[in-house]
Amino acid sequence: MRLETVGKRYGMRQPWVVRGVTAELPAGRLIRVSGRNGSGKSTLLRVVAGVSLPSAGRVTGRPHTGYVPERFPGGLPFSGREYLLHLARVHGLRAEEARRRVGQWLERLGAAGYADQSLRSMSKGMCQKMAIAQALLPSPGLLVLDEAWTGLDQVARAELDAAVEERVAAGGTVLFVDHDQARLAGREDMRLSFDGAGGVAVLAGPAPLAAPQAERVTISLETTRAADVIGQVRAIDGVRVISANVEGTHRPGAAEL
Amino acid sequence: MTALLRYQSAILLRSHRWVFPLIAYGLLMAVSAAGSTSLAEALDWSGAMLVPVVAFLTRGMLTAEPDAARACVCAAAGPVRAQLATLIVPLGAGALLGIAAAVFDVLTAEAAAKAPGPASSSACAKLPPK
Repeated sequence: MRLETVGKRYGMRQPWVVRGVTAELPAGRLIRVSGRNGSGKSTLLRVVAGVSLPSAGRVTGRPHTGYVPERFPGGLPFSGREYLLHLARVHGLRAEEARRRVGQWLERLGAAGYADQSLRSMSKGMCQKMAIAQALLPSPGLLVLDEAWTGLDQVARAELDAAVEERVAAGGTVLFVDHDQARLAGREDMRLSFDGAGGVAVLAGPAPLAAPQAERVTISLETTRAADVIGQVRAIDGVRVISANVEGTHRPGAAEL
Repeated sequence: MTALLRYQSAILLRSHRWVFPLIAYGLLMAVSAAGSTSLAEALDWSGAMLVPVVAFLTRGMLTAEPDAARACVCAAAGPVRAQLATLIVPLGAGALLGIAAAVFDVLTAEAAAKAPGPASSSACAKLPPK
């Protein structure tokens, strides 16, 4: 799946929340989206999940998607089980299969005993479990988690971690935001990092960096003493190409005046 | 799309947001039954009153589903189809109301025609086929 110069703003006169994001989101990868509060993480996740349409650019090749919002405040006139059955059908599952998977996920998330309560009377954590279950029901090719772990108990958090790894292992793409840096730490393949001005840097995650060998890795360094640093980098074993981009030079003579 | 329509219809029914529009329409129909002199006039009135009632129903429908729940459905089925389903359901409910009102108008006009009176019998002769 691919994002091509994707931008999003909420209205013609509003500032761009996300701007010019171009990235390849390959299948079978775990992708962390990071950035400060208000930097546009949730907005990008909504566009990637297909919840809102991009104001500019396009998203292509999106597989079947499950989306977990950051808060799921019940509020619907259903019991948990009824809601999940409806959503399973919306996801395109047949009645029989829908019932089977709803039972299975309620069991896994430790919510089976509460599933026949009305959504309106459920606790925050239990509502969050319903939101997670609906996203995982169809075994989606793209799973988008917007701080989905908040409010979950220990068992459900571990279960969600396991579910994420299952999706990735099955060739799905998983995008997630979480303020806990320890969440799935060291396992992500890629990071989309917000720069605070609506732009996004696409970085390799720790998992591929730890791999013994890769075809090509490009690292950018920022320094004011180029000659020294390049000399040292060139001396490192395994570096093939060095390219330098220089801005705002001062001639030595001018600097001393 | 069928699953989406079923989901949205279930929200409409279970949230009881149809109750007030239905009562409002019932009252408006009662006013019409008491005041119209011909079937054409009664049908005019029920048709015109359908507009605000369906608007009321649609508004109720659009706010019945919390944003987060809507987002989940959008991811599953696409935002356009999700929105379409939310609009088709009150439209369908409006169509049902309209049919019920037309049947009611015709029946009351027939009942009036059986009672003696030249005005109502002439109106009855111009009954459109139902």
